[in-house]
Amino acid sequence: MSASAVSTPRRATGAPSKERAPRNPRTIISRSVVGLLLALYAAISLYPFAWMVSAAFKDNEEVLEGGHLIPRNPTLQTFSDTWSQLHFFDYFRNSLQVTLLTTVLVVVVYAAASYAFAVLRFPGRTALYRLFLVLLFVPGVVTLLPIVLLEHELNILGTHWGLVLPFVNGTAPLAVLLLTNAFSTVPSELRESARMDGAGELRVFASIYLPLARPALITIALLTAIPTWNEYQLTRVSLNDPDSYTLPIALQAMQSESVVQYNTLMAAALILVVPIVLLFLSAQRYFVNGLMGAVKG
Amino acid sequence: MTGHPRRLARRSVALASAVTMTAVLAACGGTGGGSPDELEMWTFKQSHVPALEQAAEQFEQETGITVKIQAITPDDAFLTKVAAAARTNDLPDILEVHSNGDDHTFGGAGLLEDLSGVVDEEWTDQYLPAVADEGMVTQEYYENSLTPGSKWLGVEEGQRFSVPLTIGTFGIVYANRERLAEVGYTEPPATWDEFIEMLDAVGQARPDDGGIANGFRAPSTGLEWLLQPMAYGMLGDQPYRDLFSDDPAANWGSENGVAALTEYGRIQPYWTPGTQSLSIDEADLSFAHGESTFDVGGTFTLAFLEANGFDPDNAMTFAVPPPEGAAIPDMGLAPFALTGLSVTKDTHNKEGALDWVRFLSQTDVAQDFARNALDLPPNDLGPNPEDAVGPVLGAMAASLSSDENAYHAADTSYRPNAYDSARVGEVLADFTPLDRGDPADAGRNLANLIESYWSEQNR
Amino acid sequence: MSVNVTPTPRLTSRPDGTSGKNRKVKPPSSPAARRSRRKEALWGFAFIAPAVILFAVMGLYTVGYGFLLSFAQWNGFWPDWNWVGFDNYADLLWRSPVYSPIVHDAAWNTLWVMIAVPVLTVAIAFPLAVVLNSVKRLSGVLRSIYFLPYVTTGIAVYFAWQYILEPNGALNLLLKSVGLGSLSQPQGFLGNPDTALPTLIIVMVWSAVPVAMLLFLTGLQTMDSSLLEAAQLDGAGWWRTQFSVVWPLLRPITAVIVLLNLRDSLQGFQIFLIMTNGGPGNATNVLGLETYRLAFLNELAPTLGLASALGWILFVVALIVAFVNQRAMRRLG
Repeated sequence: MSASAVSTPRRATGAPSKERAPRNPRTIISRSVVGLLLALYAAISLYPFAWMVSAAFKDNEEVLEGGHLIPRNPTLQTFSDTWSQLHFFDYFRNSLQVTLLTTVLVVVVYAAASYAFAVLRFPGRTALYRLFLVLLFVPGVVTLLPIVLLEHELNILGTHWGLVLPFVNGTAPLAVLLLTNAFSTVPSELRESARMDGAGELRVFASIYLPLARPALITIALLTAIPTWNEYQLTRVSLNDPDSYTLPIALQAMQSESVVQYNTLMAAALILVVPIVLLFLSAQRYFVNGLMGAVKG
Repeated sequence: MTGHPRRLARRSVALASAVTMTAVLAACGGTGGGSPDELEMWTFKQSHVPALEQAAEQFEQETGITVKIQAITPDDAFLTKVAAAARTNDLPDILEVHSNGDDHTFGGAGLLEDLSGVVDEEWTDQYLPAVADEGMVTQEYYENSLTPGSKWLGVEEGQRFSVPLTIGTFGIVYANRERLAEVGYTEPPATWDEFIEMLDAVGQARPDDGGIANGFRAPSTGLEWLLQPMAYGMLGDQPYRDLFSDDPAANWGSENGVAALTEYGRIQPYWTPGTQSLSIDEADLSFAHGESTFDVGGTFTLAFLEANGFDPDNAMTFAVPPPEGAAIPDMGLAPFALTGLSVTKDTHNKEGALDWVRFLSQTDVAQDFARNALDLPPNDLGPNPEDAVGPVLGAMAASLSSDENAYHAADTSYRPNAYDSARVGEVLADFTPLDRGDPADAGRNLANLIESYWSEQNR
Repeated sequence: MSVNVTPTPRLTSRPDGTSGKNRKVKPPSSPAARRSRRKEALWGFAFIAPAVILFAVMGLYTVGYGFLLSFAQWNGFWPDWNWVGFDNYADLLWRSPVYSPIVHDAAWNTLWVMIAVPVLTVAIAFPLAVVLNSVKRLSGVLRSIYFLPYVTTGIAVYFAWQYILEPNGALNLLLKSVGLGSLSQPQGFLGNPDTALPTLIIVMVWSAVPVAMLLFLTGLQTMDSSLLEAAQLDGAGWWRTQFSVVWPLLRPITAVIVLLNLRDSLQGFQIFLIMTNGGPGNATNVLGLETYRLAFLNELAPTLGLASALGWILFVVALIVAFVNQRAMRRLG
């Protein structure tokens, strides 16, 4: 195995190690082993998706036969039937609405709170911060019923706000943790000199801290958006008007109301995951950098 | 636990189609319940919505009162929603409930109107005598409600919290008629032994798809749909009840219990592969698609099979038969109420709500409802049920027994209070289909578990 | 409430953890300074206000309600709760002949999950990150591929796994086609009580590796390279470097990964609810699922208080685990 296995971008500028220079057979072997391992795990990561796609293009008879990856009689029928059965655009809009509202609120509310925790001094800061952290360990199932009862009294049960508000609140521990760390790594001199120049607290927050913490903000946005998109439990007990279903509930309802075969189910699953995969791919560059920023320091 | 657990809801939910979805969309929205000529009704059965809406249309023409039907599924969502609405007095006017289950729980908690004063003999005379009293708090229910941990706390003897809307039973085996004919069987088996022979013959002829499917993902099905009716016929009424007692000389661990389990265990080689992971619907689907040759279900299964493309004429149906030398060799299955109608305390128009319930109970309306929902009505269908509700349901209705020796699946009076059929079913599933341990182990484990319920109750 | 809480780095840090070193000593207590401090505190309150208000509306009530309920017997419909003090806790832990055995069985299953998921996740994610860090070509593509399981974890992917794991599913076929037919499961991998829990553990690890790998990767890329060079100058080989330099340096990240996976293993139930419903038999019943069953799937029995109490027991266990984990990692470091 080559020493480059531990090299980092920074290290690459350093002196090459003695093992690295010659292209001896050992290096080639170890490189192929590395390549093989990487390919193997890529295959494992993609395995369920490959079968999702495979089943989605099989017809009702073929899917019963089970186990072959490449459909013998590939058909688009299953996919298009499922597409219309799933009312994709309606439910997609609902999912998008819930996910966007949740994500935006999480970023806004907890960026502000984390700025206060990381930068400002006020009585009760540590206690409140600890409270938010401890909430990380409260099992969701304990609050499921109280949420439903509370929302019924607030008259928001079954509405999208009835999903967004508990989701936002539920993301609090994670968001506070991540963003407080990110803001803490910003040198306080920047804030002090801006204050000297007469910038107000809001200005400092918006024009210094937010841009510098952008990777962390994108990270928390994705770590909020992905589970929100896939959320199933609270949505399942609180929504009952099919007009307001999100995609996971539509999928679940489709499965439990008319007991579909695996080809239809997989086509629906595919329709459900593709948007969030696209979202992730488009944001992943920032996402990775954001995680780096979050653990740095 | 009542004799007709929540899985029936799941089963019926499965009947819903895209058509129902549209109907629900149309039915939703609006808070309802405020105006006196507008009633709101919640049901947990998606498949009942179109049929109820059709009845509601007729009801509106006759009375001017509109009824909005809303389905709330799945069951945990329905119960959560009712709990939330009850706290703020926002319940709809009418609820469809599980008979002798939800109705007593809701009634005991003060959520429902007591209908005992309204539902008189003239009303109940429309029903089959076997189910006419379902929804009443009998002495047994009342006594049960007094024990600690009872879910029926608060009921009074003689109250009535629901009238039946649909009836049926489980313990019915569906077999693929064509495939049976291929191996020379044209008649249903008269005994458990013949049934096993039949399974064996088909299994040998069709090693891949000759098996019997059952949705063990709801583990109580193996217990309540197969073992219990078989054991009831085999042992007779009192010895059967004693299986659930804490008497080691008579319960599942006893000679009787192990004998029943030994008979039941003979089915082990014939399960469809993977049946232990299937939901009830998936098991039925595997039968409908020909991946299995037998399927265990209830009266409600036929409609599902038909909806999924299975030709009802190709189905041979028979009650789970008792073994040779049984105490009740010709055991039938007694019908019981599966779901009922309840009027809530929060109704703004009690008279209107009662009118709607009374309207649905009329035999002609009930027959229409039954045909549309593919569910059996509680009403007396006369000597020719086929004429009243069509051939499929009619055959089902005819298969129900009113004999006093019939197995009455809804009678749960012999069970301890905290009894949870899902967990008892799990223990039984360990025996078959999971094939871990012999009948004596299974009997001991069942007896121990049920013993724990008795000691919980007597604590 | 914590329906979508997800893995996160730096669990152990304090709000003033890293900024502390930047902070000057307390400013002199002049009237002007006091005024500015008061102003800063007011801004602080303003900034946290939305979060605190939301918590007061959504969190305080629900958490408080759930906590009180754990001391009561209730079925969701009775007009009043039946207060039972600590009975629910005692019943779950040792007293009830019905519920304590269920909890004990589920606790064993949960324990296996709590051991296996974090260990396997780290054992896969760490080498994967090291290897991925060493390749230049395709690393962006691979990173995206490796991350997909996290992005899609939920009902859709669980259905896909069910499809793969059924009796005539893809996994059995794969095993037969590579000559390992003896390992195939005629009843499906979720149908055999001996393989169901290990199978679910593997699916959980599959979902947990991406975030863990990414955290390791970021740790590797921000690692001080001079330490590695020093190790190599000392003549340490590649393996030696990984074990004695890189692994110890990544220990804080490992601690976070382990902690988050422990929490999910202890409290998670969605995968169990969707894929096995605790079966076959009760081979995959875990405490998280049991909580849900007691609360929502118990046929109207008055066990909501029991469910709540079980949830709070899990909360306390999670806190203890977090504390022990933090101490253990600190001592090792």
